[in-house]
Amino acid sequence: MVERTIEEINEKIRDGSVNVITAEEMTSLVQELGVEEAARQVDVVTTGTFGAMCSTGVFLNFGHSDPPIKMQRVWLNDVEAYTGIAAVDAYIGATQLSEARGMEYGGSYVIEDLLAGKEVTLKATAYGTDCYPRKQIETQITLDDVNTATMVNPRNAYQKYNAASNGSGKAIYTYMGTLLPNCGNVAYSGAGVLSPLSNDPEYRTIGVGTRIFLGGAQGYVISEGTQHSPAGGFGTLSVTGDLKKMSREFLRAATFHKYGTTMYLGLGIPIPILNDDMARFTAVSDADITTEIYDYSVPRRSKPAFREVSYAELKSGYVELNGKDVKTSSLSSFYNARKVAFELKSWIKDGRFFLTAPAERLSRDKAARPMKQTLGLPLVKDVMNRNVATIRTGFSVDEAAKQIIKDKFNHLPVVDNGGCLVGIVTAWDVSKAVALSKRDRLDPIMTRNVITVGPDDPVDVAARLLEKHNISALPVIDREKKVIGIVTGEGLSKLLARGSSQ
Amino acid sequence: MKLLCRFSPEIIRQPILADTIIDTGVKIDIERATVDASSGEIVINVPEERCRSVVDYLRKKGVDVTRLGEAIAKDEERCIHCGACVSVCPVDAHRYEHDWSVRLDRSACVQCRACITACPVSVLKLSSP
Repeated sequence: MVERTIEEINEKIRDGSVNVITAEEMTSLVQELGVEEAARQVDVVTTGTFGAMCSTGVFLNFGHSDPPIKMQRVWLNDVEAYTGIAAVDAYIGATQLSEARGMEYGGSYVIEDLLAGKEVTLKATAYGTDCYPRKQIETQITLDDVNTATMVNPRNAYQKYNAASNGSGKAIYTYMGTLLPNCGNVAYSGAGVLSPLSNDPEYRTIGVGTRIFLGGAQGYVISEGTQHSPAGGFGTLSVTGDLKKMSREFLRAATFHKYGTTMYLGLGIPIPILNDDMARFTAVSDADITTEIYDYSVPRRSKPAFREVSYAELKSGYVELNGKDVKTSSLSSFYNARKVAFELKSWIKDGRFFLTAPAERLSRDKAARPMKQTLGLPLVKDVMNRNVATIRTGFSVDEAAKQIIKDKFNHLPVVDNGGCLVGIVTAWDVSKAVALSKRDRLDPIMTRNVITVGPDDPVDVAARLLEKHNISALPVIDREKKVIGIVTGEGLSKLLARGSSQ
Repeated sequence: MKLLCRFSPEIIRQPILADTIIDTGVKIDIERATVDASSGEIVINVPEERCRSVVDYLRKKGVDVTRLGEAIAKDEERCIHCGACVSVCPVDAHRYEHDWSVRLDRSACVQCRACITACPVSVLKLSSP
């Protein structure tokens, strides 16, 4: 049984005799030679991932102006950065959106522009003090002009990630990309066989202070990341690196349609093969790493799972879902994850990168808890109007008009003989039908694809549906599709107005 | 040549494409079809040399015909090869290669535009017809 130390490995890196392979190559090697022989031959296994890492941002120090300013608010190309720290420091985060351009430009784009050597407009305001009298400033800066540009990412390198599909009848646009209706596709993220933490699942070698590959430069692990949940196999890392030394090849600003901006970032970690255990861990394959496919059409913290799936199945191009083969695709780039692992491998081979032992281990049994919510969550059933008038299908437009006038209500759900929702007509639909003299039957004028909510949905979900579909009322239906109430935009506004005045 | 045919509600129930095929004798390939309560859109592929006769015939039947221009174009230099386009493409025009790079087969594209918004780094463009 092989035992080697980090120092021994670094000595081999120094004299050029080190044997480094990528985690993908290690998987094949162990399958071919077995754990013990692979452990004997290999000193280091490199991992890599290249995915959307929203938790990416940079601490910038601009230096002092004359007269000096203690920045209270600061914008870079119209994207606000956080400056509630020492006078001329600010943190620009990847997901902060441009105030003028919205989702097409944001913090990640500012970071990419800086790295590209472009000039960025810095604007700041302040309240003025005896020592910092200046109240505003506007100037053009480049990456060379700032004293420090330290990337600090509180939550990167997810060990693995949920896969996503959409069980609803309409396309949705999420941080997992475009999800087609009726489970039309499955999106996943994560490098599987190359994932850094999946290759060291007990966090024996990756810990506080571990030197890593970050955005094409050397960086370090600060600690375990936010939402670190090793208990469920969802470990994360908090990492840091010097933006000035990074390469555009491994860092790209991106926008998820109707979601917002994010940053694609390359991150790789070398795993020292200290013993047989580490060889066994790094032999992990896509088939060994499993995750769940969730229904992202349910806008709640706990989404229903469709099924468990391995990265091998996800990467095969299709997974079986509800009896049909559904196309899969990745949001993270496996092509670039490989490039990271190979780049790191060549750094180590060439004697340009040395390994470190962790200064402290990461937690192995934590689970991220949900947010504590002190105010009760209003539900649709608490605010809906229960006295909803309905009309049966087959009635005429004239009868619908009478009903609307009688109940003084603009929306009239249409139900079948069993009381189940089949459509909706509005006062506008009825007026239009009368104007066009099409007054005999309701069926041709009603909307059949009705947007609805359930009684136990939070009010926020109803508000989002009203806004998203630009409609003014939602029938509330129970499990049998029976209409049990209606919520209106007007009703919700009253409720929200009451809530904010309390 | 790809043609986008829009059918208004008045003619949507008529077997216009079948008539076109029989009467013109041109082999028409249907690439994409979306039909809902109020309208229908069908993208067809017809041989270049017979295009004129098909367009004339369809227009006589009241179909709104637009010739589709260039297929989707991709900035290969800036593509990050994630694959966000792969599963939203209805005709497998975007595919993973053996090395996990993402390749576009422009001849398969039916200009549905789904990949344009799905691309997180905006490298896909469709020149308007």
